[in-house]
Amino acid sequence: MKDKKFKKAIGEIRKISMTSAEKQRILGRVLETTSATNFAHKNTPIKNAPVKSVWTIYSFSTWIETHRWITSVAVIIVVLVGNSAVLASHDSLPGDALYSIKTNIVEPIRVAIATTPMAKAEIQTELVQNRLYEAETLASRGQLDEVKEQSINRRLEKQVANLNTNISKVEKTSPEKADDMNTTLEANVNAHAKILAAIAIDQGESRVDKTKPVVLEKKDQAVSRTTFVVSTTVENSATKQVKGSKKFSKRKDFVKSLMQDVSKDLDAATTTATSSDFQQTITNDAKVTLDRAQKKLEDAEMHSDSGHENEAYSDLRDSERATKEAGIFIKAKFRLSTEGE
Amino acid sequence: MKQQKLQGTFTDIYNAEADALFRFCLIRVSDREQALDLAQEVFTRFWQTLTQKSRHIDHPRAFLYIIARNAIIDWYRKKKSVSLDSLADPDTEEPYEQIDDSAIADSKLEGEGRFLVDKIGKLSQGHRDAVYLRFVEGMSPPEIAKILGLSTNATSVRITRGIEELRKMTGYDIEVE
Repeated sequence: MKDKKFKKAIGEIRKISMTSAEKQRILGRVLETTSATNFAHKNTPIKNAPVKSVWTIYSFSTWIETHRWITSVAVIIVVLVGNSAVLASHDSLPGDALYSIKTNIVEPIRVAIATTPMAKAEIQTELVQNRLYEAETLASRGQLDEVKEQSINRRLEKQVANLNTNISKVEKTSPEKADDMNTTLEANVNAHAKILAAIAIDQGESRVDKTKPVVLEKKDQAVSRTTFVVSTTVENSATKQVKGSKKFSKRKDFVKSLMQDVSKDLDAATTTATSSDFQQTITNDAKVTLDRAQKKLEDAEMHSDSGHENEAYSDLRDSERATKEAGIFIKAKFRLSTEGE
Repeated sequence: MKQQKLQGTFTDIYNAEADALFRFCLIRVSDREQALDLAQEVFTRFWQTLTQKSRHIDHPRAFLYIIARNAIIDWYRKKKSVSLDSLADPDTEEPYEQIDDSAIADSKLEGEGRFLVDKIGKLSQGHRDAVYLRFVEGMSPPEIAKILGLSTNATSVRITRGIEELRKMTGYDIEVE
């Protein structure tokens, strides 16, 4: 920088500065704006520190903020207790403390989180089975009083109605799957109604008179309603499906395979010692039902050979339903004999 | 302990840079109180970055000037409406205000200094800050490059061209180092 004027001008500009008071004031203010202020002015109040609202004592979020450990422990306890209650409620029966958790919370949540009508229908089929199992278990223990019956019937009626609604939705997209669901539902309701009747007979005529009108009447209503839906569904889908003999053949193979499995289970059940009239009755029912299934299968083959496809498919469905019923009888024998022990 | 160390570091930087930062702001806004406010805002942001974000700042001086430039741009935007074109152009710089007597009441800016500030303010966009920082604040081209967000070469070119322009305006025989 050779030019003296330029050098002088630069020197003059460089003289522009804050006063000492301004410097100190700004430094103080800057340090006050952060948490460092507490350090810088340990014994002096902070001018611009936030003022705590008097209403914070009523604030739940403030309480959580100031009691983080307690909140965390409470959340963990609630989650653990909640999970334990849910798990424990799985085997609860009407009259148990956890039964309302199972039927009013756990089961509706399971249905609600299922995304498709098919998934909902599958869960609802399971729920209907659960209600029937509960009635059987209580009946076998001699604990099925009128209040419990009403509780089960009320729920059963509602769940069957919901299930039928979802099956109707499934039918629009997958008629064959809807047929499966209908067959399973009808087999379940028919078989369990008979099992309940057998339990009631096993426990004496007075017990039958007392329980039968409520439980079985409701079951019969459910069956009749279901049967109506099923018969309509079967008829509608039958006309669509029997167009291809391949589908009939495939279904027939499935029913035959199912029949073989049930037959093996029946052999095992027959060889097992039967300690009560109930077990004997159930085993006989299974045999009779399986024979009926066999007969219906033969009818189906005969109708198919003679070109009556609709009748053939209807017989095939009857055969499938009867086979499933026989399977339910055999399972009930083992389940309720274990329950009795 | 860490807080003590940070505060010590900050105080050292503040003492070294406060006047230069204030001067930089004053020449741009030509209002002493406003310049003081801007300086306070710049150091507040710097201190918050230092303490709350726990960031290591490699070049505190350059960082301070970056904050200052942004704060001045914000101040101008609040002060007056800005055209969409100028907002869209990243090279747009706010002009240097005509410095007035009240702004430098406590500083001895006489004829020559005032003349030079006026002329620097009239330099082309992009040359003003480069020339100011190089000759008034004595910064090196790499340091100015960090502040302006340019490469060192581009900054050197701006300084050279700015000096040429200033030489023509003032008649000063300025030597480019």
